[in-house]
This record gives sequence, structure tokens and C-alpha cells, in this order.
Amino acid sequence: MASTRANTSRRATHRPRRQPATIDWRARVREPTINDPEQRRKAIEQAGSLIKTTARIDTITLDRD
Amino acid sequence: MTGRGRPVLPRGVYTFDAPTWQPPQAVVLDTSVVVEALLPNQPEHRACLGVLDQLAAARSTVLYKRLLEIELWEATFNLALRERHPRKNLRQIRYDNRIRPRAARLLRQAHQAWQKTLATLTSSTIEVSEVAGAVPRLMQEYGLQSYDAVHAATLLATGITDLLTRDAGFATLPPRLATLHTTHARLAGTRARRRRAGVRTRVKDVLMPELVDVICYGNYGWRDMVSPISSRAEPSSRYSSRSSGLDMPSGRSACRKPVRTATAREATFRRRIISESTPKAAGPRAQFAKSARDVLATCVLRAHEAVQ
Repeated sequence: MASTRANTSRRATHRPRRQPATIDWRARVREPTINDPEQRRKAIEQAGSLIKTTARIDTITLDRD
Repeated sequence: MTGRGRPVLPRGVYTFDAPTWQPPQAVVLDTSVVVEALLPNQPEHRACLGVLDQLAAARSTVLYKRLLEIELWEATFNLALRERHPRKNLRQIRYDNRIRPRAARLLRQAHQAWQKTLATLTSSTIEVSEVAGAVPRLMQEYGLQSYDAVHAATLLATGITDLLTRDAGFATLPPRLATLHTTHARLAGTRARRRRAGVRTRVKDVLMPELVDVICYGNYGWRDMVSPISSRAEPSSRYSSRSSGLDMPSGRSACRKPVRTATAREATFRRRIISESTPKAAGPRAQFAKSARDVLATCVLRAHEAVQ
């Protein structure tokens, strides 16, 4: 039993651990300029139809390959 | 969710176009979602635009790296090339001067669209230089492509675990580093890729999101509450003599061969969960849901105790 415990603890030691966060992203949060829900919905709809094109690309690889 | 057979193991991959999906408080945005949302001809355009609307409505903080914008310009430029040369290899036509005026117009439209999107979102920008140091290690450990590794490095550097993406390549990251939110069409493929990548799942990692779902959203039926314990804990019993089954392999082979070597304590615990979680024993559904939540919570606490 003692050896089992030793194994467990050794495995735990070697398990890669998550590093603490290094970027304080909360300090640089920008609030939205459009807050009204109706206007927001309209703005997102407009954003989705602003680019006028008939072509399609692979948006995973972004046709880089 | 209450279909026949064992429910699908989430593996830290969820679908953002499901009606029950709840936006996380903070999420890292991948380029594939933004580009798909801003290009109206793309197959998953509606789903991606919808998720941006949901993030804005929920006031979730959206983190994006500066590279996202550059990738967006690249995609837009390629769009201009594609319009003129639908079937040619882009490398061969990259320097075709005739497309540049069209590319300029598309780039202007893309810039406006992105600014409009940002105006609706609570956002935070991460510079590439801030996370570039971690890229080689992530490429080496998980085989990520360079641009994807920058996204993964953003997750690590900010401490956020939720990633909105359509790219199944991120499935090689373990669930404790990245919870992936993708479209319904890509859900099964991404989960399969995570399984094939041999990402080891700990009981703690599996149960915690389930528990949050049950407690916060209450959108689970009784079968779903029972199954995380009864079916997912099964493979772990092979390791019960070593570590109470808390480090379990998530591969198919482990599920195929259930080895009955559970300790008496484990068996009793499992019986208790199942008996307390069946609707017959609980009576009205609401009362049952409460008792099942308690049982699940107890289970998670025990798992935590055992891990520590």
C-alpha cells in the first residue's frame, strides 16, 4: 500500500500544471458603445452583411495552404 | 439527450448553436468564428453571427488577439482572389494585380464590419508579443499550428479556459486547458479528435462542467445525472487500487473492456447514486432533481477529496 501511494504522488508531481495567468485582461476591458438591445441586434445584422461577395473560402485554414 | 444507450461524453466540447447554450463570462474568440460570421455566403454564417449576438446580450467579455484582425484581412484578400479565380490554387494567383482594387473595397468593408461588431461587444485585446513566448512549447506539446498555438497561448496567459472556435485542431489541448465551444455540425468531429488525440480526462474535469450545468441551468434529465457516474466511472475502476480511478483514460479501448475490480466502497457508492437517482424512488420530478443534484454534488466533493 505504501508503494502505491508513492507511485500516486510521483505521478502527481510529474503531471503538467497550469501556469498562473500572466496577463491582466480585466484591466483593459472595453465596454460596448452600442448598449440598446435593438440597436445592438441591428448592428450585428449589418456587420454580417457588410461584406458583399459571392465567393466562399475555407474559414478554418483561411486558404493559407 | 435522453436517447438510448450511453450518453455521449462531452470531452469539454460544447455546441454554441444549441438552444440551451449559455455564454461563458469570458471567452477567447478564434478567427474562424469571426470570419464565418462576417461573410454572408459561408455555410455556418447564421450560427456564428448568432453567437456574437448572444455574447453581446450576455455581456460576456470577448478576448481576441491582434492576430485575429490580421487573419481577417488575409481572408478578405483571399476572397477577392477567389472571386476572380474560383478554381485556381491561390499560391499561383497571389500576385495578380487585377484583383487589388476589388480587394481594397472588400478590405474596407471588412474593417467596417469588424468595427461594428466590436462596438456591440465587451472586449479585450491581447497583443501577439505578450503570448509569443509560449508558442514553441505549445507547438511541441500539442502539435498545434503556429497561429493556433498563439490562440492557445492566449488561453494560458489569461487564465481563461473557454475558446469559441470552429477549428477541430484545438481538440489536442486537454479539457482542463481549453473548453471548446463549436458549431453543432462540428461537435462530433471535434470530440472524436479529442478522443483520438489521447487526451486524458480526470473525473474532476468531467464532473465539474456537468455539475455547473445541473445547478445553474437545470437542463439535464435524470439519465444524464446518473450516467456521468455510472458509465464514466466504469473504466476508472481498473485503477481503483492505485488512485481511486481519478486518472482515467478517455480512449475507446477503455470503454470497451469494463473490468469489474471496483472496491466495495466504490460499488456501494455507485449503488447509492443509482438508487437515489431513479425517478421511482424520488416521486415528483422536481423533488427528484433536487436529490440528484445533491448526489452529484456529493460525488464531486468525494472526487475532489480523493484527488487531494
